[in-house]
Amino acid sequence: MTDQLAARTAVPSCHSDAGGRSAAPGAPVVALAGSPNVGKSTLFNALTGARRQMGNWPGTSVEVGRGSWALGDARVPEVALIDLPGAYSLDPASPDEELTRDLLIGAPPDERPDLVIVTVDAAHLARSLYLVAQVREHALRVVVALTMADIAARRGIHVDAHALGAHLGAPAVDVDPRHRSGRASLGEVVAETLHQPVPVPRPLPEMDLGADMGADLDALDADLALADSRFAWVDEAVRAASRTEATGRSTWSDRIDAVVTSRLWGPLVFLGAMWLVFQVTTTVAAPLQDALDTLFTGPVSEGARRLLGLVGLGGTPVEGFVVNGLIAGVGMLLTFAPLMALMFLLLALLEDSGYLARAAVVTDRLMRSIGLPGRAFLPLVVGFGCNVPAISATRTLPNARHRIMTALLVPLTSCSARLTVYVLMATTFFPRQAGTVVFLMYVLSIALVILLGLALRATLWRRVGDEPLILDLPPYQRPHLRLMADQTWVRLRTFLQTAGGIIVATVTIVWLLQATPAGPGHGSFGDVPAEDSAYAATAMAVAPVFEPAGFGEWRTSSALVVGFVAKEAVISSWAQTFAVSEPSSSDQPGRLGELVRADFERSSGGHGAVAAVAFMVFLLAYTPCVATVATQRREIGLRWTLFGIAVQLAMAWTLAVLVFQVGRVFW
Amino acid sequence: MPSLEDRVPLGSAPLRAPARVVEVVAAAAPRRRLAELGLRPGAVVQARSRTSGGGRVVAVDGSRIALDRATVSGLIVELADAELADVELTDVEGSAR
Repeated sequence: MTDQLAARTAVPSCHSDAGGRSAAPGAPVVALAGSPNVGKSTLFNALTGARRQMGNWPGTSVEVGRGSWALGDARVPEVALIDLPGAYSLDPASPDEELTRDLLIGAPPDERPDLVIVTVDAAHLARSLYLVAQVREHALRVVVALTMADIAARRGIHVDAHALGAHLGAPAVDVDPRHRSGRASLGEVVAETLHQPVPVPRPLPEMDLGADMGADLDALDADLALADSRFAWVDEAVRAASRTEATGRSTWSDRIDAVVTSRLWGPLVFLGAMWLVFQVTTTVAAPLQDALDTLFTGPVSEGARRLLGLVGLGGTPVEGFVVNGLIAGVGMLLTFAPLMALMFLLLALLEDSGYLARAAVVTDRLMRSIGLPGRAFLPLVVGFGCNVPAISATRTLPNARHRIMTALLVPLTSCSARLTVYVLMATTFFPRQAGTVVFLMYVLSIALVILLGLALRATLWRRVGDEPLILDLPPYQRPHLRLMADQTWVRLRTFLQTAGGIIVATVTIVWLLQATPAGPGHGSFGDVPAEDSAYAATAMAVAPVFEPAGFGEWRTSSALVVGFVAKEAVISSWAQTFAVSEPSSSDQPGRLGELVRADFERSSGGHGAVAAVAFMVFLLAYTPCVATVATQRREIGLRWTLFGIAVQLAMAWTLAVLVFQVGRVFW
Repeated sequence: MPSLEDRVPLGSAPLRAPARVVEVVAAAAPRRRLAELGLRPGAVVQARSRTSGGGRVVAVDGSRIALDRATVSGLIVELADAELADVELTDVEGSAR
C-alpha cells in the first residue's frame, strides 16, 4: 500500500530540493501536514536532516518533499516522511491545499499514509486545530506536533500538550524544530501510534434537517453548519488545554505595523525598501559580476588556451570549443551567481523578518488593478535590475496562477543589460535627446507590463485578482542567520543546477554555428570569417522577418539572435560582425555607432531613426536571455515558458513593425 | 441586550476598541478563510491600525490579520455601550479631516 502512495507522491516531488535520502521500500509512510507558517518544513528538515527551503511566509512548501526519518525504534527503524504543502483545512482554496487533500483523504483508504503528523502552532492554537478536526473525521492515525511553544510563551500562552492530546483523541508532543529538540519523543510517540490500530473517526454532528428548514438546507448551509461544529470542537479543545496570561502581542509590533502599513508612511517605507533591494541587486552585484566576467574571459580562458597549447591542441577547434563554448557558457552562468545569492539573501531577509507580508498589504490595491496581489510588486521591481532573480522571486507568491502570471510579466521589465543597448542606440541616433529616449523606454516597459497584465487577466485568468485581501501578518522576528544562509544556498544550488544546462548548451550551440563554415570554400571549422559562418547564414535567413520593422540586415538580426542568449552580447555581436573593436565606453558610440547607423539607414530606406526606435522596442519586448528562460522553466514549467516566449516574440515583432510603419509616415 | 444600532462594520469601529463579531458578510470562500483565521461570529476582535488601501490590521486570537476595505466592512461587530461614544467621536473627527 505504501508503495502506491510513494508512487503517487513521486510525481509532484520531482524537484529534488528536499535533498533527503529516501526510505527503504516497505517502510511506513508518515505524512507531515499543517497550516502554512507553523514550522512544518523546519520540522521536516530537523527529522530527515534534509535542507528543504523554509521561510516566514505562507506557502513555502509548494512541492511535496520526501525524506527518510530514522525513528530509532526497534520495531519501526525508519519511516518515509512526506512534507505536504501547507493547508489551513482540507477544503481546497489553492492548488497546494488540493494536493494535500488528495494525498490525505482523496485516495482509497489503503493508499493513504499510515500516520499523519499535524503540526500545530501553540501561539495560534484555535486556527491550527481546524485541520486536526477535519483529519480526525477520517480513519487516519494522527499525532499532533506542537510547535512555536517559545513564541506562545512570550505572549503569555501556555499549552498543556497532554490535556490537548486527550481532548483531540490524538497524542500531542511538544517539539521545537528550530532548536532541533523534541525529535526523540516525537519519534517514540509516532512508533507507538503506528502499532496501535487506526482510531475510530470522530463522529460528525447530526445535521438538524428539521421540518422548518428541511429542503431549504442546501449544500452550502450544510457546509457552514459543519464548519461551525468543527470550530466549536476546536474552541473546546483550546479552552481545555491552554491558558493565557496576558492579552494580545507586544505593542511595539503593533506600532511598527501602524507605520509600515499606514497610508502615508507605508508606501514611503516600501519604496525605501525596494530602493535598497534594487541598489543591492544592481550596484553592489555589478562589480562582483564584472570581476567574475574578467576572471573567465581573462585568466581562465588564457589558462585553458595555454594548457591546450601544451598538449598540442592550440589553435584547433577543440580550443575554440573549450574557450568560447564551455568556458564562456559556464562563465556566464557563474557571473549570475553573486547576483542570485544576494537576491536570495534579501528575499530570505524580507520573508524571515516578516516585512514582506506588510509590503504586500501596502501594494495590494495598486497591483490588484492588473489582477495580481500586492506581493507581486517585488519581483517586478527586481526585474528592472535583472530578470533572472526577479523570476525566482515569484516563488513568494503562494498562488500558482499569480506565480505564472508574474513570471510572464517580469521579462517586460527592462533589465540593466538592455540599458547598454538603449544608450548606444540613443546616443547614435538621438544625440541631443538621448536621456529622454532612454527614459521613454522605461516608461514603455512599465506600460507593457500593465498592458500584458490586463490582457492576460481579460483572457486567461478572468477570475484572478477578485479575491479579497485576507493576510495573516506573521510576527516580526530577528532573522535566523543559519536558516537564511541555508535557504540562500539551497536556492542558489538549485538555480545553478537547473539553469546551468540550458545556458551552457545555448552558448555552445551559438559558438558551434559561428565556427562552422556555411559551405565549402568558406574556410575550415573553427577558422571562418563572421559573414561566412553557418551563424551568418542563419541570420541572413532570419533577416527578412525584420524587413517590415526597418532593420532587416543580417548583422542586426544576428545581434538579435545573440541577444536571445544575453542582451550584453548584442553590442559585442555588432562589434564582431562589423569587425571593429567594441566601444570602451557605451557613452561614446564612436565608429561602431556610425556603422550601425549606416546599416539602419540602408535597411530602412532612409528612415534610420525610426528603425532604431523600432529596434529598441523589439529589444525591450522580446525574450531577455537564456538565463531568464532557464529560470522560468524551473519556476513555471516548460509549457508556460514556451507560451511566454511566443507571446514575447509576437508582441515584440508587432510593436516594432507598428512603430516603423507608422513612424516613417511622419518622419 | 444591545440594540440593533450597536452593530457597526468593523471598518467604522474605533481603533483599539474591543468588539464582538456578530455577522460575517462575505462570499463563501473568503468567509471560510476568515473563520479559519478566527474571524467568525462570537470572536472578540480589535481594529489595530488603518492600512494604506483603506483596510485595517485586525487583532484576533493573538494574531494580526490584514484585511482590505471591502472585507473589513463585511465584518459586522457589536461594541460595548461604553465604546459607542468613541464611534461618534471618530465620525466627527473623520468628517473634520
